[in-house]
Amino acid sequence: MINCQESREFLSLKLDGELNKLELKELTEHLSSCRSCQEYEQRLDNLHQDILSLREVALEESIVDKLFEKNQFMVEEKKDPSAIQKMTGRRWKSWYSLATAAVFIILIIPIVSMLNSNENPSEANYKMAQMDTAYEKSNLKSVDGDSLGIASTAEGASGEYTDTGNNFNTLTVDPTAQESQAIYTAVEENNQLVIYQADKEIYRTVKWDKDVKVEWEKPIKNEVIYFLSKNGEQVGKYKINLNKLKEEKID
Amino acid sequence: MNQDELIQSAKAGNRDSLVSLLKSIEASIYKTAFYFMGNEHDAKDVTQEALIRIYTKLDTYQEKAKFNTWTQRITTNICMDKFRKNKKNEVSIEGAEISLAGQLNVEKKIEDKLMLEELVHQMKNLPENIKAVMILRYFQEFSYQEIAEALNLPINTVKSYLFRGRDYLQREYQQRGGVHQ
Repeated sequence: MINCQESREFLSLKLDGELNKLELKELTEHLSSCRSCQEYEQRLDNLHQDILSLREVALEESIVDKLFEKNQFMVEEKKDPSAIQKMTGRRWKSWYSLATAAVFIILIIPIVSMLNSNENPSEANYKMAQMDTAYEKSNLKSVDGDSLGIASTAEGASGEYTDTGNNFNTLTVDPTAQESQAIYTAVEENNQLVIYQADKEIYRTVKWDKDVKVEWEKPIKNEVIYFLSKNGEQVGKYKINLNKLKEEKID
Repeated sequence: MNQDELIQSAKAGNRDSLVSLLKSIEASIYKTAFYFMGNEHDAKDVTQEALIRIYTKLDTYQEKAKFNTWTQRITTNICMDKFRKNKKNEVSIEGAEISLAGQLNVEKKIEDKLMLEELVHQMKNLPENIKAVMILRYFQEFSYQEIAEALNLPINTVKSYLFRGRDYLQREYQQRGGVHQ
């Protein structure tokens, strides 16, 4: 013989079809002589039906579509709450300091803008060499202290690079943010790859030749890798580190 | 492609498969999130975060656990974190809950709709583990075993939480009239 507490627990199990034959028999026996549990059963059944009638809830528009909008990708960052995060002008005055670097990124569709080049191959090669040189120069410049200004200090011999001046907007981040997921956008503008974090520009690459084509590939961790190619041939491969907002040439 | 093939393809880097896979689960993630958080706004935030986390952790998903169990685990974890955080910041979500009736999509009279809103409100206030069990049972139709796996609980605890959740609701909800007299 079961008591009221057990019988009520059985009633809950019964709703899910989880009572064996013996338990069901014991329950039925108890209910036949217990008014209080009969009423409980009624209330439980009513509740059960009401919850079941709640089932339909819908998303008006797909969140997946929004996440995968062209050029967008996401980075999950864990930020140290004590980090100083104010950056102004052309040089970063301080860095984000990250507690962990567990960061992943989703890929975007690459932007292509290709113009036909009338130059002969040797000229093209010379220009590519200049780009590389200028690039390395700018990297060396950024090694000192905590200045970062890569794009803005690149002054290549070729003169194709313009001083990009005020590349970096003032950027402040809530220092108490423990963890955030930022939505980034990568866009090609004026022969540069520009990365926005939630509509604020956070990084701009060196400017490249007009007839150079850019593609970026599925990022690994917190790095965006992009390729420059001319006339179908790859002329440079670069890696942008989103945490340090610094890039380097690879390959 | 069935779901397993889609998962393999997405893991291998196929973007279309990834998008299809995520789209196939976003509604059920949203459903769990909605009943846990009690309002549309927070539910959308949770859904977005869950989708991102599922994507980024897809490599760690092994076929031993069922995919739905795995995704619901991620979703409920995010729900619990966010719910606790909201409580801490005393974020007022009362206003956001006002037009629940519209979300519910149920063909009932207005008074009934209000009562059902009350039910959702009561559910939202259940202790988080009990709430999670109730949601997975009612809105994801998980078996006891699946709930136990998703939430990392012993089966007896699952049974107990279901009982306690129902017991609490039949008392609180009915006190305010309920739909049935």
